[in-house]
Amino acid sequence: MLTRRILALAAAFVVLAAPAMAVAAPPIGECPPGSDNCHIIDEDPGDPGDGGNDGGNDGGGDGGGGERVCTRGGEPIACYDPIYGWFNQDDECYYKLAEPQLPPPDGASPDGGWYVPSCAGGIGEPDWFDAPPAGAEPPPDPETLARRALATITLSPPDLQIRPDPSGAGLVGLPVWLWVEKGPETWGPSSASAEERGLSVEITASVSNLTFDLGDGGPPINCPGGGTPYPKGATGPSPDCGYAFTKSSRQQPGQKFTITATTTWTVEWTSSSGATGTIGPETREATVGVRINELQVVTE
Amino acid sequence: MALLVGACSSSGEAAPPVAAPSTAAFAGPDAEVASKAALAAYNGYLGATRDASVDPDPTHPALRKYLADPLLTRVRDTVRDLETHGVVRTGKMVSDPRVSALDLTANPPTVSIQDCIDSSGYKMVYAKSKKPVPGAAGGRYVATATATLYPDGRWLISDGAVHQDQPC
Repeated sequence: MLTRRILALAAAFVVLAAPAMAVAAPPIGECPPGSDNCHIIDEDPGDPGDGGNDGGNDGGGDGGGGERVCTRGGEPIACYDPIYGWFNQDDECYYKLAEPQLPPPDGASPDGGWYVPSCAGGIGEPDWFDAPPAGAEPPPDPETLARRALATITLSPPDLQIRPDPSGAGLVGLPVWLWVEKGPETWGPSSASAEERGLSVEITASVSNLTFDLGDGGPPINCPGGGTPYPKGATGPSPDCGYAFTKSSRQQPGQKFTITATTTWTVEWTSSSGATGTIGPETREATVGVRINELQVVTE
Repeated sequence: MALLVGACSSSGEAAPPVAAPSTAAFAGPDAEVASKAALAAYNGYLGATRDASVDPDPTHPALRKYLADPLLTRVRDTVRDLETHGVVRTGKMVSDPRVSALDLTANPPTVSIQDCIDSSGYKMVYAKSKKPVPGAAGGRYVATATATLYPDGRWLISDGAVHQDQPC
């Protein structure tokens, strides 16, 4: 095979012609736009392929092919290809779930799916299968992929800020401002993706709630917006996330109240199969100690 | 029901744009919205294909954003082929797409797009030597594509072909 037409470029026009025109392949090929030279790259270094779907050099076959041996025309071939999917020995075609899925045809079992066949002759129009084609293995679980993607990003504790400055002291009854500085790692949104065997999952993690526990025994306060940074010189209370202690911190360990900020992260995922879901909630905490004095020790 | 919006234009002869008054006569808002969305998907598709071919990456996320199967798998296959051969795409395609037909009552609804793609500036070169791939000179050819409406409301390009027997 000295002059070998490039893999699917050549293969594609054969099938491309069929659905549109319902006639045999035209005398001159059609190729996908962006690759309008149907047969280029004549030399084919180190590719012992069969001129068709030679997927073996892309790490295929490691997706759980196990003991299974796949052959096309008697030649060994990968049982799984990252682009074509699983090999069906019966018809020597690969099948992968079409992305995205169209609704099932009338009367079809909703458990089935549209599969794209990749055969020696090229990549065909999707076919409906009530059950996965022979050789197919269950698709990866999108939630597992979502968790894998989540493991690649950092959900950091909140970047807790308060006024009065923790190095100083506050006073009973005077405004305490509470807020967090927002960055992708401490507040989101933070995105990541993971892909396996043609299924990809994208996650977006963002903080959906923020609470402050003031450490004085009272109920925590909710600040879903993250609070408002203290503008220098402000004398009033925070517009959305403030507090005023009603007692001093003298009785507390270290004579300080321990303020705990807790961010609640919501992780939403969407998969290329159309499935969506959420993981979590996950929470992260940061603490700071603040000294609150009685009013009578005011020194000004 | 398939509506013929514009015929194949020979080079230099501009067909009326989709939103022109002449088409508004029969094209209800749905047709206009669908045409716009389909053309946006088509432009996204050409851009995504180019992005995925500059430094060939068959898993490029933009492909999934604008393409659907079987074209998605075909383009991934093509891009992998570039990757395997150490070939990259440089430069730009010149494109002038227009809607040629709408079939909005089909299941799923489709919009047909016709284009005249000039790929003479869209070179295929070996990544290392920067030498052009022999026989890969581009040209101006009619291209056709189908945009399909998916259940999630997205228009994606599900089929596409360049017709090298039809210069334009």
